[in-house]
Amino acid sequence: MRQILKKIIYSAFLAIMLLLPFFSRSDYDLFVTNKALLNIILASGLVFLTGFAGQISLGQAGFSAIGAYTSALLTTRLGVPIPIAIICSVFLSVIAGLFVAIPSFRLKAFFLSLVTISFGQIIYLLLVNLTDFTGGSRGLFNIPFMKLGKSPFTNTLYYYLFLIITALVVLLMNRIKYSYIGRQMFAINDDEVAAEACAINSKRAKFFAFGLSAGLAGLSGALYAHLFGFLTPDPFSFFESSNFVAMAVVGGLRHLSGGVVGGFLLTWLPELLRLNISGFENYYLIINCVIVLLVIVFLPYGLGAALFKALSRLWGEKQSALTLRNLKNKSNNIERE
Amino acid sequence: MIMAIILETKALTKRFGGIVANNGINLSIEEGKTTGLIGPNGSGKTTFINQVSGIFPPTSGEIIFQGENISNKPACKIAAMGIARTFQRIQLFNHLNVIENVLVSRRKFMSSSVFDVALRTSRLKREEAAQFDKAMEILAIFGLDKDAWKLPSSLPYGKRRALEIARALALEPSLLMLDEPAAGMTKEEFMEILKIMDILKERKITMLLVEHTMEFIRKAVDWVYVLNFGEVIAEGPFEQIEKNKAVISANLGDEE
Repeated sequence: MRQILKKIIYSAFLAIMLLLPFFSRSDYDLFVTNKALLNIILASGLVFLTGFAGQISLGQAGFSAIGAYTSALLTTRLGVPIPIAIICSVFLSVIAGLFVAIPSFRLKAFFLSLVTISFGQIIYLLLVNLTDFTGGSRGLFNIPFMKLGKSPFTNTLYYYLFLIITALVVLLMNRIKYSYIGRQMFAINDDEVAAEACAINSKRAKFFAFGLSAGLAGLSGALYAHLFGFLTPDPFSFFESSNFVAMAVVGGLRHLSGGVVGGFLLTWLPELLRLNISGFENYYLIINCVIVLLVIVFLPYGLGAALFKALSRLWGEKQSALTLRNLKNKSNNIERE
Repeated sequence: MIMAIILETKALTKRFGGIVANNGINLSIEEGKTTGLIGPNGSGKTTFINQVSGIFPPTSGEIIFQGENISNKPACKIAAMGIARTFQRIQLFNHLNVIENVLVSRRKFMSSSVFDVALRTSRLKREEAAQFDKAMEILAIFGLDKDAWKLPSSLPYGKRRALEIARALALEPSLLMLDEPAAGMTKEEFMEILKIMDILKERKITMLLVEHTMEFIRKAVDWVYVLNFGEVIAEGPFEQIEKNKAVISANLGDEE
């Protein structure tokens, strides 16, 4: 009975995702949803980096900027086809991520966050000041949209493309979490010295975590460039980086759904407050921040974690280990915590 | 009969600023034997273990393990080569449950790569399942298999200590270094740890045991080194060391 309920709820969720463009009230709504999907990709990478591997980054917008500007410059200046430009920009972001990983070998918590803030600021200032290259604060224009045949992508087509990419990213994160890699990350997060004593190469693990999260940020940025058609430095400021952290925290740092729930919520919430509730136009950011604060205070493990806890209670499953999943059905009947 | 030396240190020295924590330590550990390392607080016992396990690089001197100089190798390489350890204050992975804690050590026995993970290949599934069974086996040695799905924080102190030893043993080490395994234990827990020592000895595990409790050392070790102010002041079988004047005056304490 409960298994049927589970199937119904999951199918309903899938159906809503697939049919969303037909429900949305306007093209703008769909556009915001597309932006939400891009934020989900980025926030999922941050959940992996900060929640799993325990490395704080307040400079994710920097990686995102590298992805966005690389793809934009390659397509506008050199006429590189969009898919190849996106692959190149992901590659470049990963390289940047590997460089930022190096200070993390020695620095922790506050000090590491300072390094990542500086990285984000350096990238931001380069965007503003390298005017020949990036167009400075006026920005880059005429970035090509993706095309289907001859006609450019509509928001609906972008939605389906981003939905597929997001689904693949979530699937990948899921597989990584439920494997030895996830276990290594949690081990390093809990106790790096003990992890090394268990023959875990913490440097390699940190390279992997920074590389992966930077790659996802770069992917998100590159797709953003081709969704908007123009780029300015504004969406890559420190404010955005901290907003990404807020997404990961509100969604649930240690939960796979964290990036999804947080990314979706914190993209839509300000829009809802700004456009749909009259009288809040000037105060929506304050309300937004208060809601974020309330979630952090009352649901410290995040909305995503709370949601899945409630759901698994609904279908009578007990939560099992962090990184083992139904291995030979051994973990099903034993309660965690 | 030829005694194989598994680990040897030559003039191993560690300075922290002006403090000399280890001063020219020459120590060798025989294969299959339990070697004790005793000495008063601050005499440099844990520093010694930290150097051998690669947490601190030595200031000077050499550490030879199975004929290879490991002095400047990173901790993870040394662990992979076969030197496992536990910590003075138990250091478990508190967000992972008991079986996962042991599984962390089993990574070195897997050949799957990140591509196997991304594609969820049959190789990955096979290896994960095999290591799971192996980890369960290791837990069973210490009677921890029934607690496999619990979090370490829900276990009593003695079991947490046993889990830490199980996790070290999961590396299938050639040398196991235990840093004060009986510290802060009740009488019952102390009896449990003695049982664990018997299990380890039955398995012919070569051990380096750092300890305060004389009763424990007497029962467990074959050969003892005594440290004081970072230097070896005596070595020999325990009965002999017990009567050594220099050792007594170094105030080993803890004699009950």
